[in-house]
Amino acid sequence: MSTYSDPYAVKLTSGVLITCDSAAKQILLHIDSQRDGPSKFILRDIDETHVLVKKEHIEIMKDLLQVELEQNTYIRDPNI
Amino acid sequence: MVQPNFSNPRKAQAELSSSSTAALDAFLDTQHQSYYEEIYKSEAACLCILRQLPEICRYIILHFIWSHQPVKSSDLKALLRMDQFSPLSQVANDIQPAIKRKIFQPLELQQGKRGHHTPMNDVFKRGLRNALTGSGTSNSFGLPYPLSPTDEYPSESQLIQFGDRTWESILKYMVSSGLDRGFPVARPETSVLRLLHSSGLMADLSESNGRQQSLDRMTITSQGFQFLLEDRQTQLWQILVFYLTSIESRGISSAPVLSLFFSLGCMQITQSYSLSTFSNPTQLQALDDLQSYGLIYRPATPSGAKADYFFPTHLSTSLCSGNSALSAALNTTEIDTSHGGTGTGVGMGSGEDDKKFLILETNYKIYAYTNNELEIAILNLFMDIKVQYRNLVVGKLDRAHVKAAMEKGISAYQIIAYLQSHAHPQMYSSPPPILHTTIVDQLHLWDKERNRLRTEESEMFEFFSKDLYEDTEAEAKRYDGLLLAVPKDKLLFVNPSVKDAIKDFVKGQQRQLRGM
Repeated sequence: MSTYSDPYAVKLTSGVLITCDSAAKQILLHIDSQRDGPSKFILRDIDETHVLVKKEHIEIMKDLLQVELEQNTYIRDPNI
Repeated sequence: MVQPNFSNPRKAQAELSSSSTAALDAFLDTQHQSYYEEIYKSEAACLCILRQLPEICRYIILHFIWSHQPVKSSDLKALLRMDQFSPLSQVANDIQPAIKRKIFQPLELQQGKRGHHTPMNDVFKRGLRNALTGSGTSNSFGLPYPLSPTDEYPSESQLIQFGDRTWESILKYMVSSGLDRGFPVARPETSVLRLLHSSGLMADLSESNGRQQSLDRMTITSQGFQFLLEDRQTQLWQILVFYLTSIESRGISSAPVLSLFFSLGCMQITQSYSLSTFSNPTQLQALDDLQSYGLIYRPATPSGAKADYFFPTHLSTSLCSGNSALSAALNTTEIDTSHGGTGTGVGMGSGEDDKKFLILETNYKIYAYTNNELEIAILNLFMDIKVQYRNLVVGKLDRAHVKAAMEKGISAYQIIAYLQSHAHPQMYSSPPPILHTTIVDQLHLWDKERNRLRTEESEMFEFFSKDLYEDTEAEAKRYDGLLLAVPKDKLLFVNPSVKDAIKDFVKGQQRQLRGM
């Protein structure tokens, strides 16, 4: 039964709903784009501030985001 | 961004004083009628409970304390100058704190010919009457112990020094366990360590299964870090309530011990008290334990045994009188010692003025005029200490250190509260707020960086039919399980707990719609 023949079909997906600011979401999309195949974690790009991701990848995704954010933080050289 | 409220200093102060006994209030809120009947047998407890109630409740109770009749709602309205026809809930709201402490019963319960009324708890009434008139035979305010000339007689400054040293050594032990390079500290009594462990302030992280927890290998937990940043009064009550819960967990009623705490709170410093009033074995045990926290001082007799009298220290005598009284007591003692010259001078490290040692500049630099190891160790949690002189520590609030502190579970609010309560008098000379807005904001921003993502497990329902989508959305709302709805794409995100219910609903709807 294809979805076109049945207008009342409903698709069900389980995952983790992430709510964040749009900058963080863009970084998540970027991280996801560099991964391939089964290691991709984004299930659905919902809107500006929401994404649905796979439950099993949530911890690694948080760590990668943290790494990315740390790289974008300015730390003053202590010797100056 | 949240800003401290300066427009209404009285309100802020009220919140502060209520928060120092927050642990006790939470503990009392969970107790039953019989527990209160037990503690109200002690006059000191009645008085202390009365002191902790809001002003309006105190006023009402003292107004009706000599009355033999139940308190009528009409009398209450007249007393509070309310309209006689105002709703009952308004009065009930005012006496709610007293109802919680089982002094009154809810007004709705009893209705007589002339409106609602409530009796005042008999045991409480008797206790408070005795407290006010100085009668009663329970000696709950302590029985002075006549000292012979040969007995040890500590001065007030010695008692304060003993209390501060003992209490601070426990805190030092906690903070030192969390540092990479701890400083040499005395190990507190085993009973203290056991309580720190059972309260979750410290834990042995090396033993993950939790079975063979070693008291000597414990390190401080995030809860413990938060505890360190609280003010003294809050810390004391937290520990005491942990003590009460640990007694309860052994299946013994903690009511006699709580009465004991209240008794201590009503005692005078430098007065010697006899142990004979505390007959209950749990009370005697508690007195033994309280010495290891520095709340009481019990001299040893020449033969080596513990004397059968004790001196309360300033830590316990200020228990029931709020923060202001503690600082007032400390200020007066400082004047006393400076005049009399009896104090050693060095040990007086925690006077209220000595606590205000911290200057924070807008460039995040901190100058802390202190040589107290404990304070320096606490500062070290969230600042980068650059220079340390004999009476001055210079350092900087920087991202790495603040973030490290936040990793340990300390929140921006706690750091701000700590900086604020320790601000040097010099900081008050500039217009408020005391801490510069940029720094407060930056701390909050660093805090927010930690959790930029909010994650919730969810089930995504993807619809093609607009009707079905809207019906399901309403249904999910009814279950209170809707996390997010995106009408544009006809997506619904629901809590996994209501997944099955929603699935059944959708199936039912589908059957109906297809059948049409």
